[in-house]
Amino acid sequence: MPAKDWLTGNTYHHSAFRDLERLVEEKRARNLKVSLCFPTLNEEATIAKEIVLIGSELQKRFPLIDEIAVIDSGSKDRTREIAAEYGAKVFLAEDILPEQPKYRGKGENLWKALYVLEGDLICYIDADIKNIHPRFAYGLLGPLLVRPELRFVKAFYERPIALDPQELKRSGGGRVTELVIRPLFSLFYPELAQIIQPLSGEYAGTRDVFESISFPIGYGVETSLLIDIFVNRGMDVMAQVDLDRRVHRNQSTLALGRMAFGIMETFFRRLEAAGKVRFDTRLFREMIQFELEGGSYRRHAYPIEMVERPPIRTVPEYALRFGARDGKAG
Amino acid sequence: MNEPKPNTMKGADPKAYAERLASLRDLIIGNVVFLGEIPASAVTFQSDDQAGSVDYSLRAKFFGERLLELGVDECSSDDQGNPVGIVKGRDPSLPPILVATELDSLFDPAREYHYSLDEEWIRGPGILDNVAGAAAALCLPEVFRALDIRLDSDLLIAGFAGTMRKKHGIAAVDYFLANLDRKPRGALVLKGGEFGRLNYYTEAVVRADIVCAGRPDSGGGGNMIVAATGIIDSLLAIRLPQKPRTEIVIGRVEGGYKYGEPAAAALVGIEVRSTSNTEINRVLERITSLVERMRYEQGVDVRIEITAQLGAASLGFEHPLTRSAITMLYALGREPRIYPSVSELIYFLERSIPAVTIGVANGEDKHQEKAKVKVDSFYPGLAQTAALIQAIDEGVCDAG
Repeated sequence: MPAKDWLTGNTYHHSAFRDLERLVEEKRARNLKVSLCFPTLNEEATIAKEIVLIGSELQKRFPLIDEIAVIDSGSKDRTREIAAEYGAKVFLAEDILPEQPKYRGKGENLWKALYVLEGDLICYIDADIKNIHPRFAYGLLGPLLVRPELRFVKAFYERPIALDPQELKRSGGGRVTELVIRPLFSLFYPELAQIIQPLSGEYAGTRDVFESISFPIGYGVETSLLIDIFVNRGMDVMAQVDLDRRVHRNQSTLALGRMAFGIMETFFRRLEAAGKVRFDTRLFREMIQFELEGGSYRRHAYPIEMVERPPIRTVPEYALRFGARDGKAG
Repeated sequence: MNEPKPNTMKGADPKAYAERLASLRDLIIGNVVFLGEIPASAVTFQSDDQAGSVDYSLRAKFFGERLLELGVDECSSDDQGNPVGIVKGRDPSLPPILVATELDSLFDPAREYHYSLDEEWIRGPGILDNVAGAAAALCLPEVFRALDIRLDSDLLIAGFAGTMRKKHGIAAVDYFLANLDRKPRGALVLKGGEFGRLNYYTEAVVRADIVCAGRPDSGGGGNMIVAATGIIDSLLAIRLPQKPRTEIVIGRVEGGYKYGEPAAAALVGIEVRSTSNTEINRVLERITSLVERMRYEQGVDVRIEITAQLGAASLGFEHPLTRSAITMLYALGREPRIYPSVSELIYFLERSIPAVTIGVANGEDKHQEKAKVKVDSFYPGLAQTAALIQAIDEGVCDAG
C-alpha cells in the first residue's frame, strides 16, 4: 500500500471515538476485556489524578476499561500507596515473575505488565501527564474496537499534517524524533516514517501483538515495538491517533542524548538481525557526555543497559497462565 | 446563635445524604479538574445555523456538554452563550427550580493551568471561586440519582461566564432571568467556597472603573499612574458613615506597559458597598464629582464607567428558605456564616424569586494560585444543596 494511503486511512483524531456507548457495545459484542496500565517511578504528583479521571469516566460511567493497573519500578515516594487508595491494582515490578532476572526500566514494566494484566486489549499510558483526560484512553482503544483488523494504535499530540487538505500544520515530533528516529526510519523503514510521534509513551494493542515481541527494558522500547510490529505484521495493523495536547515533564538535552543513544543501539540491533547492516566492530555501551563544572568540562560516561526481554509468551510462567487462549483479539 | 427549630424539612436528612454522596468522590474530582483546567476565556463560535456568531467561554461550552453527558434531559444556551441544563420534573405544570453558578475565573485570560490531587485536596487556581461551585452544579443530576430523589418541578442548572471582571458581566444573570419563560419558584446560587456561608440579603453595590487617559488638548496630561494615585487618595479621603455601613473597596489598579515610559493610561477599579441604597447613591455622586473636578483641574481625561449597580434587598431571615438553609447547616454540623451578597442574588430578590447563595466546599487560599479544596467537604455541601432543592420542590418558597 502506498505510504499516502496508510496515512489517510489509519490516522485519526480522538474525537472520532467520543461515542463511548458505542465503544462499550463493541467491546461487549466481541467479549473483550480491556486493561489500562500506568508504568510508574516516583509519580505521586500525578498518579491519583490519572487514575480518578480515567476511572470515573471509563470504568464507572462507561465500563470501557475493566482494570487499571500500576506497575511500579520501586518508587521512593507514595506512588503505590496513592494508586491503591484510588482503586488501581498496584504491582511492584520486581515482585512479578520473581524467578526471572531483575531489571529496572519502563520497558521492563510494560513487559511484566503482560503477565499480571487480564485484558485482551492493553493500553499503556505514561503516568506523568499533567493534563490527563479520558481521551488518552478511549482515543487509543477506539480504533482497536471499531476496526478489529487493527492490532496496535499509537498516540500523537499535534495536528502535524494535512488530515484536512485545506489545513496544513507543522510536524509534531520532538528533538529525538526529528533528529534521530525519523532519519533512521526514512533510511531503513520509510513506511514507519509516517508515524508522527514514534516516541510517544501512549499506545494500545492486542495481547497477541505484545506477547509475541521482545521488550528492551529501558530506552528503545517504543522504537522496537514499532519496528517489530511492522516487520511481523505490516503497517495495516497499525493506526495513530491525535490526542491533542499532552503536557509532561520536559527533559534536558543531555537526558535526551542518553535516550537517543539507547534508541540507536536498539535500532542497530534490529537492523543487524534483519540483515540490513553488518557491523564489523562491537558497539560500545557507554554514552559519553561533557558538562561544564567549575569552569571546566567534566567527562561523564553513562552505561546504558541494553537488555531485552524475550517475547513473554516464551516464558513458561506466562504460557501456563495464558497458554490456552481463545483467539479473541489477543 | 441558638439552633433554630426545623420548620421545613419534610423527609430530607442532609446528614444521611452527605454520607451517601461520598460515593460520588471520583465524579466530583473529575468535574472539578475538567472545569478548572479549561480556560474561562471567551472565544468566538459560529452558531450552528450560520446566522451569526457568539462569544462565549470555552468553560461555558464544556459546562453545557458535560451537563448532557451527565444526564440532564435537555441542554441549551441563551443568546449570550450561557448554558442551561434541564432535569425534567414529574409535574410540567409547576414552575421550575433554578440553580445558578458562575463559570468565571479570576485567572483569566489563563495560561495553561493544571490541577493536582493528593489524598485530601484538589489544588488549582480558581478552584474556590468558582470552579468548585460550578463542578457541584454539574454533579446535581448524579446527586439526585444517588439519593433517589425525583423532583416534581423541572430543575434548571444554569452557568454564567464572564461575571467577575468582564464589564457588565454580572448583568448576564439579570438578562437571563428577564428572558426566562417561567418565573422560578425558588433558586439557589452555588458558590465554591465556603460551605456554611449563607447569603439571603444583599448590599447595595456599585462596581466602577475609573479610567485615566491623557488629554491631547492638554499636552497628554503626564503620567496616568500618578493621576490614578491622586484619584485613590481622593477616594480614601471620602467620609463614609458607619451606619448605614458603607465602604469603598479599591480592588484593581492597572496602568503602564514599559518601565521607562510614563503610563499613557491607567485604571482604578472600585466597588462601593452599602446597606443603604440612598447612601450608596450619595457616595457615587461624590466620586463622580471628584472625577469631574480632576478632569478640569488637572487636564486629565478621567471618566467613570459603572460596570455593575446592584440594590440592597433581603429574602428575610424568617423566610422558610432561609430557615431551611440554616437548619440544614446545623444538621450537617456547621455554624452558618451569614453575610450580605454583593453579587447576582439581587437579581433574584428584586424579581421576588426566593433565593439564597450557598457555598459547597471548604478550602484555603481562595484567590491564590495555590488555592485548594478538601475533597470530602463537597459531601455536606452537595447534601445541603440537594436538600434545599428538595425543600423548594416541596413548597418552602410557595407561600405568599
